[in-house]
This record gives sequence, C-alpha cells and structure tokens, in this order.
Amino acid sequence: MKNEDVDSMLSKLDVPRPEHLKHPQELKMPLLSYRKSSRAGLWLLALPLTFPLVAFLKYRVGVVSSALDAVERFFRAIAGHSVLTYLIPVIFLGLPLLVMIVNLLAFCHFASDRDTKALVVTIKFRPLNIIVFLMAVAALAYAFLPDAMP
Amino acid sequence: MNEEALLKEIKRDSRRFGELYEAFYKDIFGYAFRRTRQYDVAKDIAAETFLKAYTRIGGFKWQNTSILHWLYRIATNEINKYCRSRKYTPESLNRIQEEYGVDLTDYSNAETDGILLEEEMSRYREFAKVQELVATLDPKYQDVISLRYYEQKSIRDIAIILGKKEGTIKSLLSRGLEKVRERLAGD
Repeated sequence: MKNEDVDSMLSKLDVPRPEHLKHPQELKMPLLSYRKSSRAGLWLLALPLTFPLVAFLKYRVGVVSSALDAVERFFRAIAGHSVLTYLIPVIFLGLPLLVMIVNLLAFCHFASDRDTKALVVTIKFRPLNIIVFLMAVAALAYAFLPDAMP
Repeated sequence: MNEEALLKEIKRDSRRFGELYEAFYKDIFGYAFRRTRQYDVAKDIAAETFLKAYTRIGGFKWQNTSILHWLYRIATNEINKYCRSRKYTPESLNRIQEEYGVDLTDYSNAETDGILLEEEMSRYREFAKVQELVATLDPKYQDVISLRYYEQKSIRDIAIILGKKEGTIKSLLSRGLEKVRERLAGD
C-alpha cells in the first residue's frame, strides 16, 4: 500500500454530515442575549434603589444637590398622583421581589431526595447573582422598614 | 453572503452575528463531531467556538479570507484541548455561567439530537474505523487529515486555518498519510 492509496481511500470515505439538528436554534438566542439578560436584573433594581439612595445621601449624609431634589420630587409626584400612586408598590415591592426570585434561582438549586425524604439545596458560587440578590433584599428591607435603614 | 459587509454590520450591531451563526454552525458542529465522534463534546466545542467568536469579533480584521476559516481555527484549538486529555472543559461557557448565571448549552432538544446522531453514525462504520485510527496520531497530523479529507478543504485553506505555510501543510499531510498507512499495515 502506498501513500497514494491511503489518499484515495480517504478521499472516497463517506463521512457523516449531521443535517437535521434542533439544538442550534436553542443556543442562538441565549448566545446573542446573555449580556442583556444579566443586565436586566440590574435595570429592574435601578428604580427601587434610586429612592433609598437619594434619601440616604440627602438626609443622612447631608448632600445638597438639585439632582437629588429632582429625583425626590419625581417620586413624590408619583406617590401624590391619584392613578400613578398604584405604581409605588410595584416599584418598591414587585420589582425587587422579581429580581430576588430570578437571581435566587440562578445560584440556588432545589431537589428532593425521596430515599432520605430530604430537600437538597445546592448553592452555586455566582458572585454577580448573589450581589444582585442582596441588593434586591436591601431594596425590599427599605420598603418594609425605611426607618431602620442607616 | 458578502462576509466583509456582514462583518462591518456585526461590528455596528452585534445582533447581526446571528447571521454568521446560522450560516456556519452546521460546519463547525459537524467538524467537531467528525473529529470527536462524541455528540456532547461536539456541541460544547461548537458552542465554545461561537461564544469565543462572538466576544472577539470586534478585533477580527478582514483579510480576504472567509470568516469560516477563523471559526475552524478556533474549533481546531478547542478540539486539540479535548484530544490532549480526552476530556473537554469549555472555559468560556463555564465563565459565562459563573459570571452571568446563564447556561448557554441547556438545550431541551439535546437528547433527541444525540440519539438521532448515534443512529446515523451506525451507517458510517468505515468512517468510524478510520477516525479511530486517525485519532491515535499526533494532533498536528489529525488536524491536516481531517481538514483535507473530512472537511474537503484545499491545501491553501488548511494553511490559512492552521496559520502555517502551504509547504508545511503538504509535508504534514504526507507524513500523516505515511503514519496512517503504517498503522493500517500493522492491523
């Protein structure tokens, strides 16, 4: 057998060419949007965290700024409006709760072990999700206990 | 598809990367599958290849050669990581999972695809036998043999993909065929 024979044998080789794959469509969307989905959690928190931050800077630290006054006026206008006032619980409770659940599920895995009748909780080390989760907890804590915050 | 124009569009709007993905995913997955013959490894290598391409495409410079060559180069590096240890760890995919909490390869259709491919592979016994033998060669010979005979690439294309001179590719191919011939004679 010569190298030419091997070349000929390999050239005629019938090789598999997978055609009808379904999984590629499942990778495409998360691949193109993974950065956005992770940022979405932070955007959802931006609004409920803005008010406590403004309150902290203005009344605890004593920062005097027209920008802080404008943000405070914006929230007071919403709270004082007959219809928009219903947005307040959505902003201060709904959004942080949503962010909290989404991020908790990203770093916690729950499974039940039927043999031992135990609930197995696995916590993965995902710093970004844990930080966003803690920020959501802080936003919720402020919504329930505004006077207890620093 | 005018790849040069698409590359400019992708640099302006990264969502256009989806067109590149649509056009070349099958080639890259097929290449990884033919080299590894492991469905799970091949889909991880393909996902890792496109993730790396997606994050690095901003720095990719058009040099009058298809973007597919660049994708083949990334995939070849990933395949060789698998060849060295018979184990594959998709580093970028794992990093994305750690940092963003997103599992890009959590496919619901993976099992179905895997079963169908396994069934299909049973029709390619001759290929499986040859690839089993080729897989025992040094990765540098595996690269040129698989690109030449499984992917039907020209010597010039292989040189571009592997970043080597055409003469080097011819020489690697000749020595690779020699080794295949020796091993076939030894069987």
